[in-house]
Amino acid sequence: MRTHPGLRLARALGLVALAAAPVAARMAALGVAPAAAEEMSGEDLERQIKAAYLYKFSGYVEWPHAAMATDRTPLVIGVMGDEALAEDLENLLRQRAEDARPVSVVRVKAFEPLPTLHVLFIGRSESDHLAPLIRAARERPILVVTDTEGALALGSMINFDVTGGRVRFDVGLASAQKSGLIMSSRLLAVAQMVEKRSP
Amino acid sequence: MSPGNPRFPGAVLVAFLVGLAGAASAEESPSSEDLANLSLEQLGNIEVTTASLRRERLSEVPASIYVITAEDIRRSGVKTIPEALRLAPILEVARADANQYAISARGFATVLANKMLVLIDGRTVYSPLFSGVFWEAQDLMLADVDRIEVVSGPAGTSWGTNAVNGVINIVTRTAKETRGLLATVGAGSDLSAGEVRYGWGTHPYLRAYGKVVSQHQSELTNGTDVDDASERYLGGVRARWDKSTDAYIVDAGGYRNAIDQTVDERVVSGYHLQARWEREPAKGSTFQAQAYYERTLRDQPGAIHDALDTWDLSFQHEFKAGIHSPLWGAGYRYQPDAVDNLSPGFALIPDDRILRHAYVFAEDAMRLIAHTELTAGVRAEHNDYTGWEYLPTARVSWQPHASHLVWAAASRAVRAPSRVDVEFFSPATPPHLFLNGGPNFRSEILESVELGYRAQPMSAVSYSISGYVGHYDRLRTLEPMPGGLQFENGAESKTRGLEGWASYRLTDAWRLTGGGYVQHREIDLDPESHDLGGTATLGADPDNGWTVRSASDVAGNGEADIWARHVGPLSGGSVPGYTSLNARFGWRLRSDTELSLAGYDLVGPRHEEWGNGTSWGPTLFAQISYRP
Repeated sequence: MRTHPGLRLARALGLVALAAAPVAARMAALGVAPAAAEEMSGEDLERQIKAAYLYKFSGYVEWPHAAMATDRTPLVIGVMGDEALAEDLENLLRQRAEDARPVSVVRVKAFEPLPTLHVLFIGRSESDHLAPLIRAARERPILVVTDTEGALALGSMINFDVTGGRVRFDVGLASAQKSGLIMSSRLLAVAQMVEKRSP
Repeated sequence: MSPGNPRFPGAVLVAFLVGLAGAASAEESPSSEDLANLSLEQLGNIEVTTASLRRERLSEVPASIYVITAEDIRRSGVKTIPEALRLAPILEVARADANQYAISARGFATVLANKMLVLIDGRTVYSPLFSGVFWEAQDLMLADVDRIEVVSGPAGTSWGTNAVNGVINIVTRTAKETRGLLATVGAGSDLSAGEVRYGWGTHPYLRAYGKVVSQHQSELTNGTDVDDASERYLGGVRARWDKSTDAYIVDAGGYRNAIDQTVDERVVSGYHLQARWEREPAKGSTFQAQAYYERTLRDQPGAIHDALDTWDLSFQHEFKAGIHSPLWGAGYRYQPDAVDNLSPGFALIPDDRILRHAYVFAEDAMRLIAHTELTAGVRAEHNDYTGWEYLPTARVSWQPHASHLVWAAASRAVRAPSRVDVEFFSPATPPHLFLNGGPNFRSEILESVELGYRAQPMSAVSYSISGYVGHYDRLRTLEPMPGGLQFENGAESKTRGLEGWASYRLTDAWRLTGGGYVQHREIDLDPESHDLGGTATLGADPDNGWTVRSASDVAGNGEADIWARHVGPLSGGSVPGYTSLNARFGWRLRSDTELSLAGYDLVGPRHEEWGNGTSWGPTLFAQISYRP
């Protein structure tokens, strides 16, 4: 997690007690609360799980050849409306530099022209504009992933659901097929619910 | 592509640890790299803790509920809470003047409607003066409202006394979901408004907001202006910290609304400070505690000056034990109320009064057999006027398939007396011939059974229908007694009705939503009652109402919304039925700038909504919204 290097060093030197106050002050100035930096909240965990899913989904989806020519074509994951998740995803990718396929994260702003993307995650903070945002993404072969109840009916292809205290997801199969994406049976088997009807 | 080389020992260890510990703490937290090594199945088995853990799927709640979403609010173009409530087809909303509304579900609507419980982010906003809501004192930055949950029907066991006809639960977005700048400014023939919000930081996530509304005066049917324009300011800050299994939320805000009236102006103002702690101490278990202080001031020259302090403390705890999911909690509210009686015509006596209020409740959701859940619970609530009140409920839900839910409920709800019911006198000095308080006034009671069905037969279609029968007893009447008129409990009422809504997404870019209600109400006086107030004082309600909304996206960057609303004639005959048509067009000029033009009551003659002479005709509102 976000452990401040200064704090790590201070702890290594056994100086926590002495260093804590100034470090805390510095960290507060940086906008990092020391307590929060030391422990992971459930909300952080939930977001990291979503980031891990976003990374893994691509292994169970086939894009049209035009979008993904080879299994070395760089995969681009767009994140809209959730900066913390974009950071988590970047952290995850940084630790996985050995992957055969390069994966990158781009931050996408609502209503701006979409860059080349394979996956687009739309966070809950964009939930009052979900329909046009999803529609714009569906004009291209992009796996649209959302975090808002009812999003499958708007054309989302994978929608996270945390109602049972676990991060699960529902799949909009017809929407994915319309965009030329092929989802593996494994992904469909893990999904909580597969919507086969077109929204 | 390969999702990476599985490193089984690490992955299994992580899965085991998080599975065992439930909520992860520092040492057991899986790193993001570990998470990436888990399979899809393993990711889906990690228990997470969130403040939003309680968010239940709408399709699984065994009650009549309608949720107004953030998108609904934005696309309606409205700027105030009461106007946004018109989006719920199961609510009666009648505008009485520029600032006042009569709002209720299932009947008994008056400007001082007293059978709905209203909460904003967990804070009860009804006034103990009359157990209703001064809508003129409630406003929010609507762009930051996440949803408004409208529950119709008794919900006293979970929500407390006053949740008799329903609950309006307004939930704003978390500070995490409102990062960055959002500014809107708009002007129109009914009001002009500007609002700005800025969200920043992580741990804590912070948000600050402010809003200014200039509400224009209303008009009588004959064109005479009503002196009821107002100037409203509000603002606040919110912070959220997450630490391990805990979340801490601090919220502070204040408002001031200066409202013209024939003599001087009345000023309603207030501020609050709220702290909330949410945690999941063990797997499947949640705990919430909150405390808040609120001061509300009502300065009505020539009538009343009221200063009410509210200190409120509550907690609730939910856990799982086999097939049981018990939820229990308790709370205490302490409200010193200080009144200056300024009118010779009426007075609250005693002028200063402390109101105390305590409750404990417990309910259990049991999964009895497959697809069937029974929820039973009771709340005991103590108030200074009538002592202990009991509010039980039993609900059964049967969900044969994820997209179909049948539910039934039997409940008892209570409206506890308010100051106006017991301590209101007229004239202000003895003999109080016109109103001699309500020394014998007891709680009003509702016993109700409900039956509902909710379905989503196709992904694009969902609907809900609910029916209810209610028996109200000990409703308020005005009885001649030696020494003057008094409030007593001399009336009863039988109600029945149907309410429902449906949503149909025809295409990606076009959605239709509609809903409405039919209701029937009979009020009978007890044989010994000689009510002089008239049953009309209990409420003026239409026997039917419906709304239909069409939301369509046009040409990539445009939005067209049309919204028709019908309200049947009000009981008592004060208002004939009317239908109003509203429309809004929005254009996204750039990715960060949206322009919209909305029109309300666009067709038909000017009409009254509440029968007090104030009438409503076409209004326009133009707004520009900027979110970089």
